Amino acid sequence: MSERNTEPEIEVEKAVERIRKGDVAAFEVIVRHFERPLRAWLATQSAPGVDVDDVAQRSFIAAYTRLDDYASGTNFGAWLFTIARYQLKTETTRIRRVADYQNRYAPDLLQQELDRRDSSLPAVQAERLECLKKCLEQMESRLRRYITWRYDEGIPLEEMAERSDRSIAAVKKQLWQLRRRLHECVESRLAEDGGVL
Amino acid sequence: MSDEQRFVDLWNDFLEGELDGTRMAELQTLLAKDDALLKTAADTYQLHRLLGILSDEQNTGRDEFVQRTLGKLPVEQHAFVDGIMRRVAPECPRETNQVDRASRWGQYVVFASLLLLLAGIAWQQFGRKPSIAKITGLSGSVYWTGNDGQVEDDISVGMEVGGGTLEGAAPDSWAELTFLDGSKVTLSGKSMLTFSQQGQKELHLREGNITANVEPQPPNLPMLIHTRSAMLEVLGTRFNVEAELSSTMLNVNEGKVRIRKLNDNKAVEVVANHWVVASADRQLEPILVPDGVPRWRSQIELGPDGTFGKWIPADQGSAARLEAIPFVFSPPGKGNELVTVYVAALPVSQGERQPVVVRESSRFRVQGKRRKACQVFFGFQVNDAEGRFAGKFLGVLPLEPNATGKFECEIPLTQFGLDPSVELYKDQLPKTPDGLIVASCWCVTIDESAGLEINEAELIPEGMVP
Repeated sequence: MSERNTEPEIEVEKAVERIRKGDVAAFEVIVRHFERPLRAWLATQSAPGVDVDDVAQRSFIAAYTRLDDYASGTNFGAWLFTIARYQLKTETTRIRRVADYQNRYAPDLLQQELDRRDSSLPAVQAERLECLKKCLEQMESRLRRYITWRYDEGIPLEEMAERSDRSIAAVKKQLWQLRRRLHECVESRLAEDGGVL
Repeated sequence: MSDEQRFVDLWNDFLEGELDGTRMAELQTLLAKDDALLKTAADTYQLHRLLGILSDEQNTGRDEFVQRTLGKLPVEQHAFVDGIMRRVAPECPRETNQVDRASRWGQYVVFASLLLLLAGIAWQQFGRKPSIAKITGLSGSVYWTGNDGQVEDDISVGMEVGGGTLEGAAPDSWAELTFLDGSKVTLSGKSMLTFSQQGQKELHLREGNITANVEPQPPNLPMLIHTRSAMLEVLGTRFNVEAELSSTMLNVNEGKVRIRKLNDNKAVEVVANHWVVASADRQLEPILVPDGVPRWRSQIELGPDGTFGKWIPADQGSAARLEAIPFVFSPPGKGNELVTVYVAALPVSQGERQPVVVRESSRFRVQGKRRKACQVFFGFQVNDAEGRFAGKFLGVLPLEPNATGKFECEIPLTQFGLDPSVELYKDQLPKTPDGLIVASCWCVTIDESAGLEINEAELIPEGMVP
């Protein structure tokens, strides 16, 4: 094991050894450590229609069943993300087999751009998620309510327009501005924290 | 309006799931000619997805994901045996001075059972997966993916299968699966079902429809059915499940089924002749299944939900329509030969629609357009009152050549015959669709340049006019 390994990484390596000795419960350490970065990475790399949780679960289960293939002390996270990358590719291929998928759900060019971004470190998306949480906390409540309505409550645009006494077009525009603003906030925080971009 | 403003409009609608096919093409064009717009699109898309993850964490918590993942790990041999031993322990007291013959025999039986179980496990781990079910009915394009991940499209009735995934690729796909205990699960239409049996039967319905007739299951090991929005527990009953992206519909024909919504963990028991829809935006309230109606009219203008084809919204002078799209499949018994047909399909008695009952004296009316004169087939699938597959029927639309390409025609039920793809089962299926429930209907052509589009389809009972 490398001397540079952090404490959580050491815990992960210990858990791997325990699982190999038959302690199945130790796999919880691995799931807890990687679920957030893995789901965040999958969410940002996958096309609409891909069930992120499902692919994440399949990646964990594949890692568990193939644990003997992992070379202890190398980099469990990188190994797990490689498995996840293949799982995502399989799922994307399956969805593409549905004849009219491209027309309904995703522009090809977006997928190409996401694939290009795939080369960035997977852990960056977990950092982005943390920054996003902080940016949201900072946002004025009158603006944050649009994000809460849209993402937490999942209410339709018509109802958002009624609640805010604005037109649907104005609500759409507001959501667009908020997404742009949050993106800028996240990138600026990442730069301040020295995050990898 | 500048390209950038137009992009903002289209991209907003894309993120809100409101972009139709025509505007998607426009969006593709804008993205193709401006890298900066593409970067903005990807930035906001990734942010949009991260907001979704944050929301999930807030609503369901991260623990739930961890527990669900751990619950799906394959059962290890020693853990499995420990579980069995814990169950048999009360019947095999260890501290007895006088072991009578009966209890000794009991121990032998338990020991023999364990040996058999271990042999089964060894078989699972080192050999081919033992079968847990058999394919007992098949029609249309159906794929099988076993645990080794190999996709097979050349499957046949009688094939024994271990855990894996059955996928109905087309609107007329149908497959029946019979488990070793006699429980039957039927998959129909564009559907995807993954199943396994490790102690208890576990099904994952990713999309589409299943009908199940489940034999009594052990009280502590109910059959579990997972969809994206709900989980069902079944101890033995007859029911149908229809899974869409964000909702699950359960229709119980006999007995009762417990359904739990995943978003708020609320559960309810649904009894015979009731249905319920589980979705994040509504209450989980079972209602009495409504009586069947003899008349049905498609409502293509309302959107593409449940259809198969390219949905085109109404524009100047043209009504909303469904364009036939290519579907490639390998006909059974034809080796690697591939056939392409062009299909547009519509749901009839699906979702919360009232069951539509067809009568021998009914007729279908179809309105649409084709670019050139060619044969257009019209087919429909029927189920019985309990949702079980009851056959597919096929006819040829009586179309006259027309310079504009537009057509409107009627085809009486008497002009339909059994679909050739279910010929094998003709002795087990009803001879006519009379009195059965129409599940879906479709138009098919084998002519690539036909440009077939459907504006409207209607089932009209005797004595009524369109």
